[in-house]
Amino acid sequence: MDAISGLVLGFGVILTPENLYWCFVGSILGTLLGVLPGIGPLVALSVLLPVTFGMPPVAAIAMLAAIFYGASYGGSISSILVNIPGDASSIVTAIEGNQMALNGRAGVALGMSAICSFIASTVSLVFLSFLSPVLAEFAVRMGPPEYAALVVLGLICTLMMIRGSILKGLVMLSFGAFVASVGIDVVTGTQRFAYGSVNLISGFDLIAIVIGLFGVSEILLNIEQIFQNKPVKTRLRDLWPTKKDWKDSAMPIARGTGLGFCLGLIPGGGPITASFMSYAIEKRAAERKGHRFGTGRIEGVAGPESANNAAVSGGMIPLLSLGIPGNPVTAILLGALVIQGVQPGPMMIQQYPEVFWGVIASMYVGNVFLLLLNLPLVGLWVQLLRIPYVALFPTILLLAIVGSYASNKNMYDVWVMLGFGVLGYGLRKLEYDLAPLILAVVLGPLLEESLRQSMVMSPDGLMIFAHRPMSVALLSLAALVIGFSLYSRFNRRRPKCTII
Amino acid sequence: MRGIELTVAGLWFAFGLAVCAQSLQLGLIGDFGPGSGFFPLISGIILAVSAGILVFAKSHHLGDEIHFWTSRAAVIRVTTVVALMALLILLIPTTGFLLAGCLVTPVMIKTAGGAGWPMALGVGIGAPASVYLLFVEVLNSPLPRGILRGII
Repeated sequence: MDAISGLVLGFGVILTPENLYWCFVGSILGTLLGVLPGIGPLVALSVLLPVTFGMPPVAAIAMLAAIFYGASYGGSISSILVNIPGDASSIVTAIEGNQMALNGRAGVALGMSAICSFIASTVSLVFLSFLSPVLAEFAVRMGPPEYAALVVLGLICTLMMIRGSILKGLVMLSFGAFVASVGIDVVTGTQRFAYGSVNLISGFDLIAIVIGLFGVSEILLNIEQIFQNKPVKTRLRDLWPTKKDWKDSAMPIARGTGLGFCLGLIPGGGPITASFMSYAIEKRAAERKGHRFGTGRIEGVAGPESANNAAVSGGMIPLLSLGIPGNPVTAILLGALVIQGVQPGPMMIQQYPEVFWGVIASMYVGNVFLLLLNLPLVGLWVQLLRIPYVALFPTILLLAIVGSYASNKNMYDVWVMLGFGVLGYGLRKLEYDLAPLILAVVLGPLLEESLRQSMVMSPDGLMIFAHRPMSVALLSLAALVIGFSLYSRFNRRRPKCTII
Repeated sequence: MRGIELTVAGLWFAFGLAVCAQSLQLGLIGDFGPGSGFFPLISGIILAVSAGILVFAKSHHLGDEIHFWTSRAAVIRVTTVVALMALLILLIPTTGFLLAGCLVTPVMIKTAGGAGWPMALGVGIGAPASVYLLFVEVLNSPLPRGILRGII
């Protein structure tokens, strides 16, 4: 099926009252949670994931994708008006966006943020629609050695893209792989690290881990300092940017979209790296023209917002075509698809074409919803910013408890959620990046399975990886990534990136 | 706070070694290629080696130092929330989600959030009731009812 017929099928699936309704609800809920300071897309997705358990696959993923988009946009609102980013990808938006608000241009900053998010997402979705089927067709020909090499490349890219210590990232990666191996070994039927416990035999529940690591730990970090939001008092009527704003923003939007899409394709690249890199590029470009960043330049909003939204669509390509999530958000979406009985990967487009294309079409629709809803409702979102955090955090914790219970109806999963929440809090305090941990939990079983199948296929053991051209290419690329990353870290070309 | 970092790295190192030891017991070679312990052994080795380097680095004062706690009040607030969450989870099987939530959440808002009783009671009862209604009535996902079984 070519991309055009696929999109026709996808829009046919998504343009039903039920699917449109859930996409709409997802957009509203996502924005609502994203606006609340300290609650980013990851927290929003992890606590609302159980809400989708009873839904059909397309409706569930359409809603989750809309929650994610909505929460990303909502995060920009709190960044611009309160200078408290909803998540890490909005940190740089807060720098120029909040300055614009203080200069009395909050409306334009919010308007530009919504419009450039829409443009970047839509352009990236067009690329996603045409690239995904091609990649999936190519991936069908990949055997276990190529898959194992691809997962290794993905994990190494994730490791090298983290901010902070590589060694700590490596600890997280190997701990994640260990967590994934707890339970019954599906090949031999042996119990691993279960010690006779009925609960441990089935392993740790992914949803409980995600809610704990990202939802609970975030709340614990936030309640260290209970804050009272003070949104900037400014005119919100003039949301539409002026001709000069458009002129200044055109190139940052184009650069941000291209950069974000490409980084989204790379595991570990994701929206956070994309927004930071885009900010750095725009800052340099503005300085060349004699403009000073930090004074409320619109390029500092347009570039990073375009980049982080384009990265989201880019990140869907390896997820849908290869079944390999590149960041924690796509790992949650993968978990959601698996819960719905759909295994993402090269065969998804053939086995579940209505889900594959329905999800892509839902992302187009979700973006339109966000643009149509969020600009007129900006006043309402600003009012939400006045809700004190003390009233919010218990509700999120209750949702976390119910969410981790809902998947298996087992209180043990709730304890797992709390355990991983406390662990995640401690690890984040000690500057351990959690992205390699969650990706290893998700990709560990796939890597182990591919590795074991490869070794069964070959009389030379691990040498099979040296005999297959594609696995050689992928592993060489992984080695190059390691080399380049270590070189740039030793030279401290990226701030806050270290080996130790 | 280098002491905490060193201790945590040491714990990771010990954990990595324990994983290696357990993996060896599971067997590295099975009837059909690599055994059950093969993959965990690789994880354990990577964990132990990277944590070992971290221990060495931290004990030799290499790398940046991390400021762990912001204040004593922050420690108390975080510990209170974790303890109250554990109490809530402990109560759920007997009292049910709704009653446990209505009992513990107001205390959490009052003690950890420092809010007044009107807000603590309002949000503390309203929030569990809303979450219960959302999941049980709207999403049709049953939650433990405990001693309220038969009433709600």
